[in-house]
Amino acid sequence: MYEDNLVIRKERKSLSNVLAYSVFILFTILTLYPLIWLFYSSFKPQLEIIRDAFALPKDPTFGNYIQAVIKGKLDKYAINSIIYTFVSTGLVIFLSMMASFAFAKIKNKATPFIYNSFLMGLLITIQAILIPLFISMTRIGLRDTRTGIILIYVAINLPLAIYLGTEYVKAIPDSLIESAQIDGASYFTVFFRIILPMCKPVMVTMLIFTALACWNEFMLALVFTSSDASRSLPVGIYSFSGPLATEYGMQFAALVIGMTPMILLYAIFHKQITRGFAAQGAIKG
Amino acid sequence: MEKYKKTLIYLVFVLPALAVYLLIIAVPIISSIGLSFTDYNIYKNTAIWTGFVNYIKILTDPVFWFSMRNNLIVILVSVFGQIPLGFGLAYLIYRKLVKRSGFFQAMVFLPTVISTIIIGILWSKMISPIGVIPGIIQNITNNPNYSFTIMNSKQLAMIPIGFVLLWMYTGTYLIIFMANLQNIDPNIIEAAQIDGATEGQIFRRIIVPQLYGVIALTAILAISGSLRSFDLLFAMTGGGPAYYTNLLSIYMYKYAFVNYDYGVGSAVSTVMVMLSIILVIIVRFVQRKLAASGA
Repeated sequence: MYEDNLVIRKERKSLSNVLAYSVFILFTILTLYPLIWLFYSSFKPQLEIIRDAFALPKDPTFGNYIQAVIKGKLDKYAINSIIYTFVSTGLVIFLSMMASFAFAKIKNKATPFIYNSFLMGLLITIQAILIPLFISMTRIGLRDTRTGIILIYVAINLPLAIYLGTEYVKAIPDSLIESAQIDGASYFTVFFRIILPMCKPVMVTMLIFTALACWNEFMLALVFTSSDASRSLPVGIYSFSGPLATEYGMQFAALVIGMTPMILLYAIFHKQITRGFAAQGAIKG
Repeated sequence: MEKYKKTLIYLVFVLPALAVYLLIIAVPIISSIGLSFTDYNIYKNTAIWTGFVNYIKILTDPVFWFSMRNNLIVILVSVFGQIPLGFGLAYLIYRKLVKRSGFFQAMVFLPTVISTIIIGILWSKMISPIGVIPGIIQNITNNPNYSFTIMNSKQLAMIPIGFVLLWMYTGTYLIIFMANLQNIDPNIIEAAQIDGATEGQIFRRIIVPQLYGVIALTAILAISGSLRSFDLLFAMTGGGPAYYTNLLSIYMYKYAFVNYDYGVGSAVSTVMVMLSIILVIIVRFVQRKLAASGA
C-alpha cells in the first residue's frame, strides 16, 4: 500500500517535471528567438531582409551599423543617453542617501509627512506631470536641454531610492552613531564616514534601478527633447523606426545597439539586479 | 539652541531631494488639476476658466472610452496573466521541479531589462510582413496566403499586445514571488508532508495564504504600472490602426502634444490619477477582506 503510493508519487513527480521543463523551455525559446533573429537580421542587406525573413545573412554586412551611426546619428544620441544615465544616477544616489539618513537617524516631527509624500511618488501616474512641466520648462527655457532632462530623471527616480535607502539606514544601530558623536563627530562626519561606507549594497541597488530607468526612459525624453543635441538614444531610435520607415537593416542595427548595453549589464550584475527587483516586492506602500 | 541646530542640519540633508521632488513632481501634479478646468493656450500663455467643459468633452468621446477599455485589458492581463504566471513559474522553481533554474529564471526575466521602446519596435517588426510571425503562422496553419491582419480588427487588436505584455513582464513577478517563497519556513511544509498533506493542499493551505500580502502588493504595482504604460504600445502600434490600440496615456499624448490642447490633456491625466487611486483602494480593501477571512 505504502509502496504503491510511493510509485504513484514518483510518476506524478516525473510528469510534473516534464511539464515544468516544457514551460521553461517554451519561455526560453520565446525570449531568445526574437533576439537572435534580430541580431542576425541586422547583418542582412535590405534585399535579403525583404526576400526571406527567416534566412541567415548570405552576404553579412556591417553597413547597417555604419548607416545607423552616420545617418541615424546614434553616436550623438548614445552620448546624450550616457550623460543622462551617469549624472542622474549619481545625483539620485547622493541626494537620496542624504535624505534617507535624515529620515532614519535625525529625529524630526516632519519626517512621517515628508517621507510618505516621497512614497506616494512610487504610485504616481507620470503622465500627470507632463503638461504642467512642459509649460513651465518651456517658459524658463529648460525644455530641450540636458539640464532639464537630468532634473526630471532625478525627480522621478528619487521615491524608490529614498524608500530603499531609508529602510536600509534604519537597520544601522543607533549606538554606532551615538558613540561617534560622543567622540565629537558631527552629523556630516557620521554621514560620510559611517553611513555611506556601510550603505554600499543598497547604493548598488539604487544604481542599478536608476541606471536602467534612465537609459530606457522614453516618454519624457520624447516630449522634452526635440534637437539632436539633447535627444536620448530611445527617442533617436524611435525617430527612424516608425511604422512607415523602410530602412529595415538600419533599424535592426539600431535596436541591437540600444539593447546590448543593458543585456551586458544584466549578464554582469544579474545577482544584484535580481536582488533589487526582489526588494521591490518588499515595499509596503 | 541645540534643537534649532538639529533642525537646521535635518533641513540641509532633506532639502535638496525635497526641492527637486516638489518642483518636478508635486507642484506639476497639482497644477495639472487646475489646468484641466481651463482652455490653456501655450502661445498666448492665457487660460480661461471653463469649468467641466474638458471633462464633458472626453467623457462623451467614444475614443476615450475605447482607450479606457484597452487600459482595462492591460490591467487584466497584468493582474490575471503576468502575476499568476510569474507565481506559477516561481513555484515550479521553488519546488525544485527543474534543474538549471538560474538559467531559466534569467531567460524569463531578460526582456525586463531591455528598453520597452526597443521591445515595441522589435515586435512591430516581428509581426510585420518583413518579420517571422506571419511566416510561422503560414507554416502552422498550412495557409501560404496568411497575412497578419488581426491588428486591423477593432475587437481583436489587443490580443497580440497582451501576448507581448506577458512576454515582457512575467519575469518581474517571477523574481518577486521567488524571493518571497524562499522566505517561507521549509519546516512548515515538511511537517505538513509528514501529516500526509498532498501537494495541492500544501499549495492552497500553506503557500498561498502566506503570500496574500505580496499578491496584493504585486497587484498594486501591476495596476499603477498598467495605467501609466505608454512606451510599448506607442512604439509597437502608435495606438493604431485608427484608435484600436489606444491607451489613455496615448490618448492624452495626442490631445496635448499633437493637437496642443493642454486643457483636455490635463483632464485626461487627472482622470488617470483618480482611476489609479480608486483601483489601489479597491485592491487594499480586497486584501483586508482576504487577510481577515484567512486568519
